[in-house]
Amino acid sequence: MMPFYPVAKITDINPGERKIVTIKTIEIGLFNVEGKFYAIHNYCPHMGAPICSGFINRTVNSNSPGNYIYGEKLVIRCPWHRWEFDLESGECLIDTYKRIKTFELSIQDEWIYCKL
Amino acid sequence: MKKIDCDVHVRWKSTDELSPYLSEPWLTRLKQGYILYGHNGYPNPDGTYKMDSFPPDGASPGSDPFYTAQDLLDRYDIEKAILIGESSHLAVSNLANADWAAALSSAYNDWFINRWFSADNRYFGSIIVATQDPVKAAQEIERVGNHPQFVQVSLGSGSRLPYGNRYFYPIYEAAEKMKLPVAIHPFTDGAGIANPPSPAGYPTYYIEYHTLATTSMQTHLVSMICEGVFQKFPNLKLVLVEGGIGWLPPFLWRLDKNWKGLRREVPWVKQKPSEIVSKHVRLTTQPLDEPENRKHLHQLMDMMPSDDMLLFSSDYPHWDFDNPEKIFRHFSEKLREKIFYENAAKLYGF
Repeated sequence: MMPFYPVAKITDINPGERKIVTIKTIEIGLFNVEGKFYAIHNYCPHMGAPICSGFINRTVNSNSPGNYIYGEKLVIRCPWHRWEFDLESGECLIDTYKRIKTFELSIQDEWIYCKL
Repeated sequence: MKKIDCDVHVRWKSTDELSPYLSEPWLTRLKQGYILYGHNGYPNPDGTYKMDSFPPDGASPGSDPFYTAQDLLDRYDIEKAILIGESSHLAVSNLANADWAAALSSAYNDWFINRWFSADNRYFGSIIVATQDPVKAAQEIERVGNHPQFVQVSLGSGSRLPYGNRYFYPIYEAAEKMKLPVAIHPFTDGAGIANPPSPAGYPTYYIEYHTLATTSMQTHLVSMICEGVFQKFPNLKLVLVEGGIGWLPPFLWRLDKNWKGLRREVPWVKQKPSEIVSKHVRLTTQPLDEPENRKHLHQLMDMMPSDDMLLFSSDYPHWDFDNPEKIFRHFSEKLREKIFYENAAKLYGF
């Protein structure tokens, strides 16, 4: 069974903020978005960018030219080539064979624990 | 092998041939020699035509339906020919006066029917529309679009806007309704009120102008994809005529790559652009690229999104004619059948 590592206190990451931590040489980005914490590997599978410095947005979709549907899923967008990844699953929106590794989190006694 | 020639150019012996199809005040203007099209200013210094295509009476090549039938269709065993008119016909969209342009385009279409379609049932044609007034253009498509020998709508590449712009929707709506592909043919760029023939401005020589025909094709294609024309009109087909083929694969690699990161800006583009092109776009083959290493042409075919995209064209009677007896000889029988016949038959519903 893989262990959980304490990585931050919940008060370290305010709503809308992020923190990069390192566990056993693996850089992991912790995000506090809309009342929930997320953890993803700080590595874009496309070109190796430090993806955790990218944009956090919701998706933009459309039914027809000029029509915009905002907000179905939370995504992190790579700071280099702007590829979009589902923050929850790590899946790339346009190529589901590419994904960012995501990590399970547990919160106990004001601490965030990350499972490797 | 059966063949459909998807780019055959025709013209009149005299503008008098248009007189029956114009009413006043336009008929008087025609007789007074009023401007018929915006000239692109880039003539081939040695003339536009292959020199053996003049009819026996010395009239312009492509002006005699019976001679064209003999010199092209019979000679090369071509079952059907898709007539496009001349670039000067397509440049009707580059006249300043939208009403004169619309009247002329209607006259051209009636002339096609009476001069060409009735002469030989192997002739099929392209409805010429004047894009200055897209609503009138749509009405023209509906007026003649039911004629069984009109099989597509044709636009010149010279324009004031890329063709994905919503301004052109009425044309696409009518074409889709009438189940007619839309073709874009080059060599009207820089003519009349159109934009310059290259994004950098006006080249000096015909060789530059002719080579750069690929650039406006690319502009219109990327525009139609990114503005969502094929999302808005899901049954619309586009034919890029005489604009080259070799540029397409790397162009799509670039656009697909950009789409992966910039999709959010154009969220109506839901598929990779190369997939949209594979489904909606066809290209005529002339002037076929002639790499010195024959293998490169085979590699190019391999890079195309599909084998269904290419349509044989000769460009008769122009100087850069592709002889159907010489081209594609090194391709497989199956691929030759698709390019010479099956792809066009499927597209045009033959």
